[in-house]
Amino acid sequence: MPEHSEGSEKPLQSDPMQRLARRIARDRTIARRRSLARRAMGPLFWKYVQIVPSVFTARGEFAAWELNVPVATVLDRLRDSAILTLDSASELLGGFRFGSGRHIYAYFDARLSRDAIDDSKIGRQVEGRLTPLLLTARNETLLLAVFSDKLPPNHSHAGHRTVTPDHLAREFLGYYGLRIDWIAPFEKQIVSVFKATSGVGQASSSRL
Amino acid sequence: MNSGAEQKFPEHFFRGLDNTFLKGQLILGGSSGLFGFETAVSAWTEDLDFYVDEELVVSRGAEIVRLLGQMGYGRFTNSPTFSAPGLPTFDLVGYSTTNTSDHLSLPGPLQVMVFGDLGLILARPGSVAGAATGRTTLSPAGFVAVKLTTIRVEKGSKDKIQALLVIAERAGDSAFRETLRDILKAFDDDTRADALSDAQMAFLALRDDPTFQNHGAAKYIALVEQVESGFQALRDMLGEFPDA
Repeated sequence: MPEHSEGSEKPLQSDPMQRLARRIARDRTIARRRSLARRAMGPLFWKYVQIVPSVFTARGEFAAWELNVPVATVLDRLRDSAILTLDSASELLGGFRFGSGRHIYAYFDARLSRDAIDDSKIGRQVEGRLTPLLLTARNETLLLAVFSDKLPPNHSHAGHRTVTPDHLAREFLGYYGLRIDWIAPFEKQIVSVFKATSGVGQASSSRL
Repeated sequence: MNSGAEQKFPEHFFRGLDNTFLKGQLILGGSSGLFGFETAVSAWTEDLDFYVDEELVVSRGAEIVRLLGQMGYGRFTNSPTFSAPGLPTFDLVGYSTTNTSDHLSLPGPLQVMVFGDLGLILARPGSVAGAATGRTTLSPAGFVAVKLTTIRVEKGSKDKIQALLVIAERAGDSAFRETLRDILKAFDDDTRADALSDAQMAFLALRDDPTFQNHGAAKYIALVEQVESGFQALRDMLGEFPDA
């Protein structure tokens, strides 16, 4: 119960308030450091801060499979239905992965039955809550799938479908945040090769 | 406490302040600022914030505590937090129109944390509404500006997502856009860029946080699309600033 302070003229002890002030000062320091780190990115900061992120797991129903065949076999068997994104797309388009997990990230049309994936005999669907899968690098490789009514912009490349380079930038931002350690290879190995346009290639580098 | 009790509380509280020196002196803010205007955005909070001028706290702190006590609100020891049985808890949060640094008000019968950015925002026209009736609340643009510039390592994403959702709701309202643009002019380029960047980073919370995902897939997708739309509108608004 709070003290009933009617008529109280007693000065407050400052400890809890001092602690609050210190926490706020600490938060400001962290924010300042983060701000400086962003600016160290130079023009790339101004370019990428203007891109609207896209959240992979938020575009539909999320499901996962533990794989019991090699990744190349999975990609081959799902060639007609999977739209690769995130590290799977960057690997195919630019030859690099960013995350520590070796997972396959892909969109599927929401009308596609989960049984169709099971029928391709790539592995076993994971039961239960899936969010931690996203956050923890696991030893085994998973297929992380999103079944969506509105598939993202995609194109054909090297016999597979991937999200477009422009959309891939949005997906990386929504999954990994604004980080120079993926933006640098992305610029070098994807943007410059594919001449991405809307969102990435044409984003202004002018100050706000 | 019944769900929604905190939404009804501000009117009850403001009515109690009528005919007192505190009428019109407290501004409903923080996440509870969402209770002050029409919106579908959830406050995700059960306690409320009222902003108070630091000068008033220093000059009449004892009277504030006494008055609130007479109204039935007891104070948690050594804090600017008050509550009464069966009613939501509320905090008094300081702002200053003369000192724009974060600081504690002077020790006294009432001490509050003063947030520098709040003073900048509240000094701008259109940041609050309802002053004439004594029911002073953040306006939608004032709310968005506060949330965009709030720095919290924990729960910071919630602030940004709430701001983006309100922007998405009102993106077609030119008066809202104009007022928000004007309020944000109180801040320098770097601060505005940080606000945009922090809003962008909040998308990671949508990926990670079950609070948002628990709404069910269809509702969650709609929420994310609104956040995307709010970010796009914010980017466009900030992009209209002249180059530094």
